[in-house]
Amino acid sequence: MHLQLESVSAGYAGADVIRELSFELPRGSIGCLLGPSGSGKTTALRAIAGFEPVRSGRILGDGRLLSAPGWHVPPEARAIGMVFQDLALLPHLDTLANVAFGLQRWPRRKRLARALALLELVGLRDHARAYPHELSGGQQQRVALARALAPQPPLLLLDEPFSSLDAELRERLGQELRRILQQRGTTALLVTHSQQEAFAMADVIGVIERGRLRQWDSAYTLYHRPADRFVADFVGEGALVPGERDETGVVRMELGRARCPTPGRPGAVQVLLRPGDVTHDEKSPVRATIVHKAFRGAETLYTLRLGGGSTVLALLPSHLDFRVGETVGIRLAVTEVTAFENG
Amino acid sequence: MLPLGVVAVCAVGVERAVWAHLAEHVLPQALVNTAWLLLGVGLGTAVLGTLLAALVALCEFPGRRWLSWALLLPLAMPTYVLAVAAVGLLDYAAPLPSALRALGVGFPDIRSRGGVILVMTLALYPYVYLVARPAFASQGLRVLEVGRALGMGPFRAFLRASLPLARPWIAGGTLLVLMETLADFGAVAAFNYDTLTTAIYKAWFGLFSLDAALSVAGVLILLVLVLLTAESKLRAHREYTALGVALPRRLPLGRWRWLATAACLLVLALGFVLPLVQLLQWSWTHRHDIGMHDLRLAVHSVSLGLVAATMTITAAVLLAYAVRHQADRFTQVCARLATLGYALPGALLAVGLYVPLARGTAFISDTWGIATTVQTSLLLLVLAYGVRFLAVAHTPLAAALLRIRPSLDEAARLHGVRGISLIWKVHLPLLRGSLATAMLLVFVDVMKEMPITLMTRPFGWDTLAIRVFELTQEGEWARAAWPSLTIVLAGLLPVLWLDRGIDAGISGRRRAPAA
Repeated sequence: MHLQLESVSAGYAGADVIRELSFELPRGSIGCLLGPSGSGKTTALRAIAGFEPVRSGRILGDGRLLSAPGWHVPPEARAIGMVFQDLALLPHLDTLANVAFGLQRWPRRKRLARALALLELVGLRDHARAYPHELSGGQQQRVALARALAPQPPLLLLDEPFSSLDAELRERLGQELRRILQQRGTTALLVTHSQQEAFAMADVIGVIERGRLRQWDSAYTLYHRPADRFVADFVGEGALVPGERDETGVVRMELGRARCPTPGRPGAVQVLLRPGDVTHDEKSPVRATIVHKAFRGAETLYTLRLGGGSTVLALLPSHLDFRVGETVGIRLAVTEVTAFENG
Repeated sequence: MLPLGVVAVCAVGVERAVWAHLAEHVLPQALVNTAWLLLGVGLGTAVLGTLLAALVALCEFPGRRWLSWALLLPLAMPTYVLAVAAVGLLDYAAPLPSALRALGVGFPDIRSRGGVILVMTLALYPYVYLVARPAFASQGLRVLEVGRALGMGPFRAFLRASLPLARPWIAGGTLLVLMETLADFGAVAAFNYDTLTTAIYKAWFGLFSLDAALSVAGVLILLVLVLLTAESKLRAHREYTALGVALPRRLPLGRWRWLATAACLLVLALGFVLPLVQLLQWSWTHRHDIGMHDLRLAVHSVSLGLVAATMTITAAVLLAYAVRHQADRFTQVCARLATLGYALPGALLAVGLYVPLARGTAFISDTWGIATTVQTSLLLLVLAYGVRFLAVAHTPLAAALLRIRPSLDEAARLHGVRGISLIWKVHLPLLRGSLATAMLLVFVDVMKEMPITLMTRPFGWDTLAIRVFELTQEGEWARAAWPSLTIVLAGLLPVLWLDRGIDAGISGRRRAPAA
């Protein structure tokens, strides 16, 4: 389903939880709303599903008007599937019956065949007769997914789908889910507060804060070309260092010079440097003191203080085992950076 | 347990002639009537109670908050009081049906099977409502949303998902209703609708045949056992199912919202407001009849209630502590058996306790020449109340005692507080609320009680409930209003008390689910 939101506002009892939300999700792609808890991302999802009325704006699915002030297609008539954050498996039904739950109008034989096929797909064929409380968290997750997919909804909404799982399982299920969705050409929109989840799953990510969409872009762009300081801060690690921008768009800072591709006025700026933007080079004239180190396996994340007092992060191979207090040479590893005007 | 055994043994040993008479003239009609009553009231209360509970717990409509509470009010009205009001208001000769007949509109006879079923459904639906409401509330809207996200309309989603989840609770409530229906004496007597309980009474005081009464009681026991078995099966399956996070929101009903309000109001009006108004009006017209005699009735009711409540609470406390300190299988089975009395119809208990005591005293006076009249003493009466209402007192007490963790005892012991002073200083303050609840519940139940009192009271010990029975037998509906009203007012106390506790328990999530 091609999903469109046009300056949608919605909320509980007078206070808008999402404001002027606009984005477009092309058919077959996987989108993600990323934001801190309480940012309104679940409300956005519920508005799309039809559980919340919109207070202004429009929601369209394949060009059909789903929600607008005074217009509300009920959830059951939207053909939108949803995986709830708490999964909401029905405790009195076994796995098979849970998956077949949305297929009530199908003939019995066809219904069971479809439910079994989906259980096969999520690798739970052997647990068809188990009840939800007998399954592990990851298995319950997959049952919920199979149930939502069973009626073949053209759009699937997922609310924090992996929040209850440990990191490893989250990674694996995320990849599986992506494969399943792509295989069936299902459009999907998930909400999460975890950027790893967003990066792993989504083609396009929207960062949402206090009900407003800050940026709607690919993971690369969000990370390296964040639209504002909030996105820069919320997505990934990094440091802001002072710099000076000239008329040609070149930014000068203590670490060196780099181009800033986004237009802006000349003057003092704050430059975003990601840990990968800084590298070790003993020949470099710029020296920095290591104030903190965090071992991460293949790499070590160093916090470095420059002579001018500003702090940067650098992700270096962990074989370069510097000590805290040591002074090392560093330089910029990139030719383009993102800069925000002061103030 | 004793009355059960006595009735079972004696019923088998009854003379064939008595059996033949019963089987021919009494039992078929009583059995058919009882069966219809169970079917109708069970079905009626299950549907009505469930619908109201779901409306109140899952939907939003004007007046929902206070209706949610007010719908419990019929609980204050014993079935026979509602029956008095209904028959008095709608009987063939009453003003309303007469007026309608004058207009050429036929009015269905209230003294019919349908009439009893309707009245008892209105009086008993709160038992289902009371347990189904928290069951639906704890599910929240999420269950409906699951269904709707899978393409079902809200009503279909309710039928397919919410209802099956609440089914164990609805069944539990309905079972309680069935027990009450089976035990009911006053309402069916007012309607002149012969059931097994009235058959016991008629056999005893009409035919003056204890044997016949015992045989009818024997039949009644079989039905009780069926219900008890069903109940113990259900007990194992009851658990509140919170499906994820219950949303603090309810389904807005749109155009239908006033209809929901109207439906709730209608039930409330029929089950409580109208009968109450009628009783008030009758009481007012007969206010000059109230005299010393009536005052004595009230004193009897209250004093019996107080004595029985005190004795029952004492027994319940002993029982609860026994289970707490000696949690072996034997003690638990004993406790379970001891609290089975609530399932025994009062009429059955009366015969079951009277017969062994009467025969025992006869034996004693024959052997040693000591004349006693235990069989018609207050002792028997209070004992019977105790058997019947022990569970009522035991349930809140056991729940409260369960919440006092053993670690609390150990902590107190480390500070040198032991034995009696432990109970006095630690347990009593923690149990005070539950003790009061238990006391109130038993007190009101005794005030409402009719068949046990009717059959085993000492001569002259008439109570309010007995007065209601006598007046209804004479068709003096209006004059029965005053004692009825007094009973209803007493009955309102625990309803007000109870609901506060339940809502606090659900919202606070601290209370263990009621047994």
